[in-house]
Amino acid sequence: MKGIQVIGVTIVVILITLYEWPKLGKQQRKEKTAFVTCTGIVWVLAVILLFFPDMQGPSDWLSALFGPIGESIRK
Amino acid sequence: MENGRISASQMALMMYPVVTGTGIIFIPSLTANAAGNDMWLSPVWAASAGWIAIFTALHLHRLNPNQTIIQYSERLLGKFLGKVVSLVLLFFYLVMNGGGVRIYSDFVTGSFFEETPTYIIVSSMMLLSAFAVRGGVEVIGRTAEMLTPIYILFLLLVFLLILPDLRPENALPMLENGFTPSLKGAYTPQSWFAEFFVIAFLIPYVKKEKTAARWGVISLIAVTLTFTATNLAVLFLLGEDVTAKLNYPLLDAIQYISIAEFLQHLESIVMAIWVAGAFVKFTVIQYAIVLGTAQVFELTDYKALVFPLSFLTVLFSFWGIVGEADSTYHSSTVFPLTSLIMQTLLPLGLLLISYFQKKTGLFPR
Amino acid sequence: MALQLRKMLQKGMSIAVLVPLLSMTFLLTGCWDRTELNDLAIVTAVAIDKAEGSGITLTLQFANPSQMGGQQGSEGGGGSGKKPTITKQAEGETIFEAMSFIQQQLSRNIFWGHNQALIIGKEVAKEGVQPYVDFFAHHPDPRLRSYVYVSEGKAAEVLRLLPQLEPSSGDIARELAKLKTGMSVTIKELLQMLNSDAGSAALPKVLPIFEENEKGGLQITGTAVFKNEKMIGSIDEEVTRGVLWLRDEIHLAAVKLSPDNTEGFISFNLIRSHTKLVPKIENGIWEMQVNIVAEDDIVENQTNLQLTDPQIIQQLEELLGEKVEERIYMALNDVQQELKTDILGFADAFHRKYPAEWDAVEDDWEEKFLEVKVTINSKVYIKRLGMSVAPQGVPKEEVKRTE
Repeated sequence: MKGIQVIGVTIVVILITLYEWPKLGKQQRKEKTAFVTCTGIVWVLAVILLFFPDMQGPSDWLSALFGPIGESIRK
Repeated sequence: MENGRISASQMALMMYPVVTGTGIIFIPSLTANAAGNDMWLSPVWAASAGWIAIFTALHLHRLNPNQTIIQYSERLLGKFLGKVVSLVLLFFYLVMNGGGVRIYSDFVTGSFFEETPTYIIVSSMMLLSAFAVRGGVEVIGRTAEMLTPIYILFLLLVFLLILPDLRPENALPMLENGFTPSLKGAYTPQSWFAEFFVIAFLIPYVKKEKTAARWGVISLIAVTLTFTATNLAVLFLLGEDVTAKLNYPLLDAIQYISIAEFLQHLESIVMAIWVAGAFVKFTVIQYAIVLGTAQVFELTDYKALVFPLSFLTVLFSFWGIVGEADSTYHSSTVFPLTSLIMQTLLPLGLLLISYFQKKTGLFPR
Repeated sequence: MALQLRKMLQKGMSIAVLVPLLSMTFLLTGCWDRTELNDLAIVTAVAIDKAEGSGITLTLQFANPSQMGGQQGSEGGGGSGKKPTITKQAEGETIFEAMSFIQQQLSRNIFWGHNQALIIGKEVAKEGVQPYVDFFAHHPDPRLRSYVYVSEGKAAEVLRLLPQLEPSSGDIARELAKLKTGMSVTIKELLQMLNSDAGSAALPKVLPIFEENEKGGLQITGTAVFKNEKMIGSIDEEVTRGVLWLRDEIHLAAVKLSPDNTEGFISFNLIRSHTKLVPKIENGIWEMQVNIVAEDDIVENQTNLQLTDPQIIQQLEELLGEKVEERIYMALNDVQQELKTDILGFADAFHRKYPAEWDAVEDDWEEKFLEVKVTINSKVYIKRLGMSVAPQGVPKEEVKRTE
């Protein structure tokens, strides 16, 4: 099941690449780098999240950081 | 980077759903919890965050013409610090938009499509908004111009149809415990109002910049009235105690509408319209994220980033958010604080530096 | 040439992307929440009774779509044995548990959106309704606009009844509530009552009257009075009217009067009325002024009074006012002195006007309520005389005017 999901995510990433890559011009090297980096990060994160869906996320970090202050303000 | 131009009125129509889109679900219940039957007053206090946001965004733009916040923060703070601040701001918006989409889809699945997986709702919404973002600011502006009036119209219709069931005495006694409860109730909604700062990404592309201030204020007043009217309607219909215990009081209010046993079960139509409003919201924020990212990395075009970043927003709507309890805690407790820092204090700081720089002529970059 | 090739490649590429992308939309046709009307079992009413052991017996009344609507033509030929509504029953600790047992007996999905009425059995009401009302505000499907009743006997009996005029007994319950002859309370209003300052609630009581086989009608037989979510007693229909006057919920009221020096009655139909509760706290004495302004029309005259006479009308107005006050005092006696439960909205009225004083007595409201002095000021106007101004069938000489 996880395998299928990984394949699904990969297909989506490939589709995005197929759609965007031809649209990037030859001179747009920086854009290409940005696109590849961004897509790569997204793919890795998606796969990690598929295997560890309960992983601590950004909202958890923010809650840990600001939660106590926020609670005291609310009171 | 962005060749499209929007009118100031389009900007106003883009901003209205940005604030009301998700706020209208959460705010009645959260303000009722904190402010009791003075809940209708909380949005008025909270609007001050909106005033500050519009004021700072406009003044920053006047001092740094034709630049978005990403560009001028780099100019004002120096290249490295500017980029760091920009990235933090973009991260903040990414968390906000991811959380927002999640709130929206939990609401839709929780009340209508019980069996539809959340990721389907989230991804279909983000796919649609990705196409709109790819179309550029003009496309988003026109979409808003088309959808927002219908959205407002239906909200007005809801208020009109619920009128026969309202009991204004539910709001009494007013200010039983002074102004404190309603001010406490303003803590959460102020963060929604502060989202008006998103115009810092849009003003450079507004055609007649001088009218931006007027339309920004019109939009802000409309939002304030909407939240106040929503809170009043919910309070008059359900009373403070029931409202505070409900998850989506406005939905219950809409479901309660029954005119001559004919005009009832309106929630599905209202929902369809509300989805349109939410779509504008996510699209505008997503546009700010994509445009900002492209500007941080000094790309010539942002289009290639649209789909990857929309996918990232989808991931952010799940990452670390188990369920509605998390979302509610985050939006009621954490987000107001992060929003205060990122959307109110940070811009004010930038504005101070900007003034200082203009007065003294220091760090001319 | 190269440019053209490139363009063609791009075009081909975008098609190569678009085709699988579009084909993905086919996945959407098998939507998870797709529901067709003929897959739904539409709940028209719910009944909650106490189960033999622990928990509750949930009875659901479903509309039988094949038998609904097509009834008018074959009124006499009802011998087909098909009923317009079907009831199903199951036991459970929670409503949802019982409902899932019922779901197992059904080929269609239970759909709550058109639920008209919630009937609570008397036994459940006496033990407390709070555990069972949450479901209706919690589960996404039921609406807050269903009307709530307490049944005299088993609540399931109310649902078993096949009505003569309406398609289902759930519909009768709704129509009765809308006529407002008795209390009319939706789930939303029940929640508000349970959350209110007084913490008490009042629900209409309903009794099924079976006439032939399962056919019959429903009758409102008064009001069940709740204190802290538990039913502690009830008041009859007449007292209920007094309560309705106080709550400013009176809608339909037929009043008959027999003025002095005449025989027979004059009937009045209440057109509109407005009750205002004016709380007063003076020297520590809590007083409630009830100001009533009502408008009646004369609809029947058995006496020999000439109604165009302003003096007679004035007398009648005074008499009517007294009659209304009498009813209210009777209701007050029952509610305030015997049931000792504030279902009149006094707590909210005091809280709204005297928040500080209210805070002091909030916890002892039950006792304070007994001490509240009530004064009633009523003003009734007779505005229209009806289609006749003098009694019909009375010889002209005998028609009485003021001397």
